[in-house]
Amino acid sequence: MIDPAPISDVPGIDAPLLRVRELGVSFAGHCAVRDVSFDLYAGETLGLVGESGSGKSTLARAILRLVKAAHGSVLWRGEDLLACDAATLRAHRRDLQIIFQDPLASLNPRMSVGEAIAEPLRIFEPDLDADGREARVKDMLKRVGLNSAMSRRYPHEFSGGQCQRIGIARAMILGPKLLICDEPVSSLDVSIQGQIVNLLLDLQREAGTAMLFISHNLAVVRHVSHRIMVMCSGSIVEVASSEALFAEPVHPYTRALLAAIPMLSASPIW
Amino acid sequence: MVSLFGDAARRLRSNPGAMGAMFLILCIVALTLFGPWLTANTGESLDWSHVASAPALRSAHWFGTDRLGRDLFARTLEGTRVSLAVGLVASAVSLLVGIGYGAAAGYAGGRTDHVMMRIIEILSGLPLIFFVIFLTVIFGRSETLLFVSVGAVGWLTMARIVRGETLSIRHREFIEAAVASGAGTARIIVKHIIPNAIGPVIVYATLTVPQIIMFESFLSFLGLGIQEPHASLGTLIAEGAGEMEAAPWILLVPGGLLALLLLSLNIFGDGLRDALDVKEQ
Amino acid sequence: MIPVFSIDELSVSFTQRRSTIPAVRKVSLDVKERECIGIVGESGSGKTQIFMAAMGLLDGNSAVDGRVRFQGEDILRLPPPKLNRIRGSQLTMIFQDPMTSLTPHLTIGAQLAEVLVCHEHKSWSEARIAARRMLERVRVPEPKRRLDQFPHELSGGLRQRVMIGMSLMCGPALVIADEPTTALDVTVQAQIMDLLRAMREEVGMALVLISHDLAVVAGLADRILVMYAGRIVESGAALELLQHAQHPYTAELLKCVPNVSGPRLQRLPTLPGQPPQPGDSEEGCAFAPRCPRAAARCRAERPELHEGQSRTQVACHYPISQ
Repeated sequence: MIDPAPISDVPGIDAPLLRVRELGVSFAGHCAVRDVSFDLYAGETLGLVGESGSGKSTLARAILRLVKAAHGSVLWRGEDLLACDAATLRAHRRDLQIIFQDPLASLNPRMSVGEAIAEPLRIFEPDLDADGREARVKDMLKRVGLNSAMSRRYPHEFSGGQCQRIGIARAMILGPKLLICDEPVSSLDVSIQGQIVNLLLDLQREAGTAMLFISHNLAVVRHVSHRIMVMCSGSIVEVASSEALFAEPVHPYTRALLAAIPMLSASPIW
Repeated sequence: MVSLFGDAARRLRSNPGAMGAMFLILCIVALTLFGPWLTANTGESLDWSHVASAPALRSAHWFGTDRLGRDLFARTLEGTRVSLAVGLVASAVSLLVGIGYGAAAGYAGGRTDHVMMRIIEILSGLPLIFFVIFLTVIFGRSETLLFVSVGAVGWLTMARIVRGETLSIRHREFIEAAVASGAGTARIIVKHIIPNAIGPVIVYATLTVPQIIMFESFLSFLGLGIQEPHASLGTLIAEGAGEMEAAPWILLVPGGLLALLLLSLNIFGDGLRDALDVKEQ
Repeated sequence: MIPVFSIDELSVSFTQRRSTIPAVRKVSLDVKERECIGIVGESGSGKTQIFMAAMGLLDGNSAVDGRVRFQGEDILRLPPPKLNRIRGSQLTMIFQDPMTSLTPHLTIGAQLAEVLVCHEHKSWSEARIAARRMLERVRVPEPKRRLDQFPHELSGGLRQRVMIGMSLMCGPALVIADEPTTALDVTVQAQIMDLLRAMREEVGMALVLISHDLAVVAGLADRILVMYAGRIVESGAALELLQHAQHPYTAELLKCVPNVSGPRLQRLPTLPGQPPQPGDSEEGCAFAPRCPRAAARCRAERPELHEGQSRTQVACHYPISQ
């Protein structure tokens, strides 16, 4: 079992935002997540890499209680998300958001883009009137680089990259403290991936949002994350800072992953 | 740019069969609403000088008269009005009940869904006619009873359809996204599941209307529904069946109109399904 | 020497609601015997449609123009029975998602054997023995047991090995691999690339490798063709193209691939805008809106493919020179 990074016992700015302890998830007898523990600090980007079947997406969903965990605790600012009642959980969701791998599938095809982005406002700020909502939605569209006149259109009218921007707008409109990104650029063209990643980095810098960045693409994770966790068959096998992980990988699995990345040419271009 | 429904409307407009059927339905509805002004006769006045007379455009009675001298045109229009009213109201009721029940069962899943579905299966198994006869014996014949028993026909299958759609929608990613955004169960069912399940539901609803009209006609034919002196297409057909040899038009006029109505509704329903069923590309 | 596969001014367009949308515009390319060419492009580039058209796999709403020759014979207008003799035996294709391209209700052994039974008229028992040998060649562990398993019982990597095996059963002259590793994990991807390399040595077939991933193509291809908006924009020897890209799109694309060595970046390199969709307007160079070197001439006049430096073909008014 890997020790989580050193924790401060005194609550304060240095205390971790999220503390996951011994989290386990099983599906039909198969153990998808095995006793995972880690900490996540405010404002940091924690990368989570692993191949298919490693359990990384299941872990993300278990943290948000979108799938049922068999055991373990998820301490969010001191409160265990897995133990609290549905109403408290819903209240916390304001600060815990997620963006998905398939941007088009994560949008309701029968809802206009503006309505989709406004939904968190309707849920958590019901006193806001229609004009106020519209203003916030337009502002958010601009911040994610879309034309605010597009709010009446429907998801199928947009490209993959644009749909992901809409998903980000929806996730960020309430200014969450933690954004979980589940393979956010894997289904996008290479020339667009950078746009979305840079947008996330910009929004993070503006709002100080912490991010859990899940991807199978090690190269992207390397640039985006402060620290990286490597997951294999449901367990975390290595945790290190980005520099350390790539410079001196410790676990054999990490080394195998790094060795398998196809290089553009024998002689490095950069 | 148009929404998915606007897209469907355009596809529907380019389907000549469906548009023709819709036009026919609208004509029939218009006729039932405004027809009474076209003729001086009513469905109740008895014209003893023209008992069981054949249809003739020159005479006062365009579609002829029945055994009692009542103008068939007026009576048929009244019958159609009643049948349509029953069909639409009962369909609307079965729609609302079916959607609510089906969406709740599908979204709840697990034991709740199991129990709710078993209830539907039990109700489906009951022979409805005996049920209706039984209730008629107890409560006597009334139009409310007719509405209740006819409504009971439609909602069961509607609930099954909606539940099936809900089950397939429930696992799609945008539902997960809605839960993650903090939406409660009610909001998810109303704003996310039902609008996406509505396609097959609308189609089935348009196909339910003819079914319900048939059932009502059948009940009235058996003497369990609408009674004299009121008319529905069913009672008119029942009357006409008795006069088939002597005065066939008494059967053919309401029968023909019923057939036309049902055909149009079915064609329109098919067209609606084709228009709504295209995959979102 | 005649190239084993030759495409001449191929155009593919799709009809949608009474309008025609061009997906591939007058593309020409050759594949020599035993050669491996890599076709690189993003969404809307048309890279897959070229070969779907060549293999006769497009739907009825498509219109194809131009010539496709396989071993000298024009296959584009061949009637299906004749085409079927070539497809699956001499000219084979590997697809992206082996889960959907393998028949779910037939065993692995049956699907492999079927190729020989249909094309070489072998008996089922002979074909089954050959199937097992092929599974050994593509390094599927426990081949005897796998013969009787169904696709869903195998992992993604194993399924792709089976697909590769199927494509090699009759010793083809050309294998077209359409994004063969995209759906696979990076460790499995490396294994599949090794397998393709080994098979090329053993069987000696020509290989067309289609991918959006330059790194995957770089590991295997002798020549690389870069496509954008339905046209070839650059074509040349792999090493030359990767080290001295002449078309601005190729150069920018190379910059967009994040690396694992070198300094960590504060912002990832990217191209503004998005790749054009089939059906977008055709004035001037399709890449001009996103090109950092675009000038007035680029927006007005479309550049044709011409010979650039080091025998690379490039379609640009202002190619990057050394």
